[in-house]
Amino acid sequence: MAQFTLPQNSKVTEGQAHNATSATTKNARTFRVYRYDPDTKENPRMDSFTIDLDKCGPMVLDALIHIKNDIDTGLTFRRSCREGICGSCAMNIDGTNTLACLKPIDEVKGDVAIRPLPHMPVMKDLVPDITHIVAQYASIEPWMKTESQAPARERLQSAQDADHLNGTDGKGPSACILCFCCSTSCPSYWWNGDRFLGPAILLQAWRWISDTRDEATGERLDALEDPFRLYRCHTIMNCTRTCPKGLNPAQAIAEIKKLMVARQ
Amino acid sequence: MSADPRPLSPHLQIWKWSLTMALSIFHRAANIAVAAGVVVLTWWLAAAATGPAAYDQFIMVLSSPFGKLILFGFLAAVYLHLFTGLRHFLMDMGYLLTIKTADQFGAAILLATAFFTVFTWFFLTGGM
Amino acid sequence: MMKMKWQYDRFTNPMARARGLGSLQRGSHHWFMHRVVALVSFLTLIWGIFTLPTFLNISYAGFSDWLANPVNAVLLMLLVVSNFYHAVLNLTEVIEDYVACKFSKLTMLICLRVGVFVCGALAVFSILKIAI
Ligand code: SF4
Repeated sequence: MAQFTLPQNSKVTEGQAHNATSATTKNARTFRVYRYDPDTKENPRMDSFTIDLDKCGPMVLDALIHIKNDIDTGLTFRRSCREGICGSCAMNIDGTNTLACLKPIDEVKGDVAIRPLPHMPVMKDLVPDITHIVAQYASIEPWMKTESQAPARERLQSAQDADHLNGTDGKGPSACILCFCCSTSCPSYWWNGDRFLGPAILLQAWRWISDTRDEATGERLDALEDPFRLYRCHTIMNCTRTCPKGLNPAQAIAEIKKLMVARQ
Repeated sequence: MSADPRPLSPHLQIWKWSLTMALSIFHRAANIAVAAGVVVLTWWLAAAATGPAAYDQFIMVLSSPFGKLILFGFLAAVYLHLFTGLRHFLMDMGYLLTIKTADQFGAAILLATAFFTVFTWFFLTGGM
Repeated sequence: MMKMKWQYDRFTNPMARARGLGSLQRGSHHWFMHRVVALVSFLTLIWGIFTLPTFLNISYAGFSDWLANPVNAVLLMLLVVSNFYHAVLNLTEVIEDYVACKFSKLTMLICLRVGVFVCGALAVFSILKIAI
């Protein structure tokens, strides 16, 4: 069976509580953060940090940085741009995946629970191992493939065709930042991630399939013609619901499935 | 699958459920119920082919309160699967793929299932 | 035994694992048939739920008379066959989704097909026996 419960070494225990508020704190909030230390090999735990929101910025990432700077320097998480363009700080906040830098603390009611992206091997604290999903990305050969001779200038495309990639609202597949919030939100990817490509990678596959300049559409579809790689998608819609950039991987996968029938 | 000493991050345990996620599971459960119902129908047909005695015995079982419950459950499963199936079909054609439309349509088909199940039940028992 | 490409240990080559044993070159046919069969099975099911239960308080003779009508017999056969076909396609997906072990997965897929063939044959034979 697909394992619906966590394996023994992954069961989460209750961790330490840190209180960084004082009598003068007006705006206290508790963050419950998933911790795993690979050096001790102990089971993961949920530590709680009660902090003064007036001492940090408005986003969940600001709170994490405040905790790391002032309370527990060991806290480990990925972050870079802090403006939703690098995709590093993708994590599970309050039961859904999103970017910590784009998630206002205000939007969460009660304690803020923060965990790594779901159903991934954890390297440390909030840092998952994304080796496999990145290899899956490479496996769809995400670059333009052409047979015809390269023109003297760039390969041309009409404005409408470019809209397929960019989206008329700027939310087309090329706006994807590969944060993997969507793939790790998908139950099908949880149970069959070893073979199912998952929404993020399929959205990227669609980005190349729908590119009018790419000449390998047939081979790309051949590679996806598989009960696991593509057809594990059951339109559960978690991907679209969770994408912090407002993209629609579910729509992209539906377009691929339509093409599969159209080419029969 | 994994010889990985690394822990697996929590998934189903912590995920915030949504209507579309629940509908996907309902669709499956209803499908299994419908398949089971067709097995019961096979039993009915086999009993009829065996002869009047076996047939009467089967009808007795199915007319008991327990049999009625099964029948009602079957009706509900058929309608639920019909509507969720329709929903899947529309999604495959590229419709209902935004969160708002998916949620609205999802709520609508749950209501429709309840309505049609009760309607059909009264239609059948009233006619009996 | 040879280590399978999907098995993981710290020496696993990520790209080899992602590519696995390659694309099976099937899937869209299953997907398409699934939708077509679904349509037939539902039309007949709707017919079935409005007709069949009314026989619950009619005697054996009434039922066999009704089934002797070719239209009813054919519709009923269509109902049974399309629904079993639909169930095979659907339950295959369910098994592929949830059963990770390759051996039990194959066993279950085979048992499902055998079971459905037996039930289907029984139902069709019974209908024919009464109808003819
Ligand atoms: S589609 Fe959205 S959630 Fe998925 S990887 Fe791209 S940006 Fe992240």
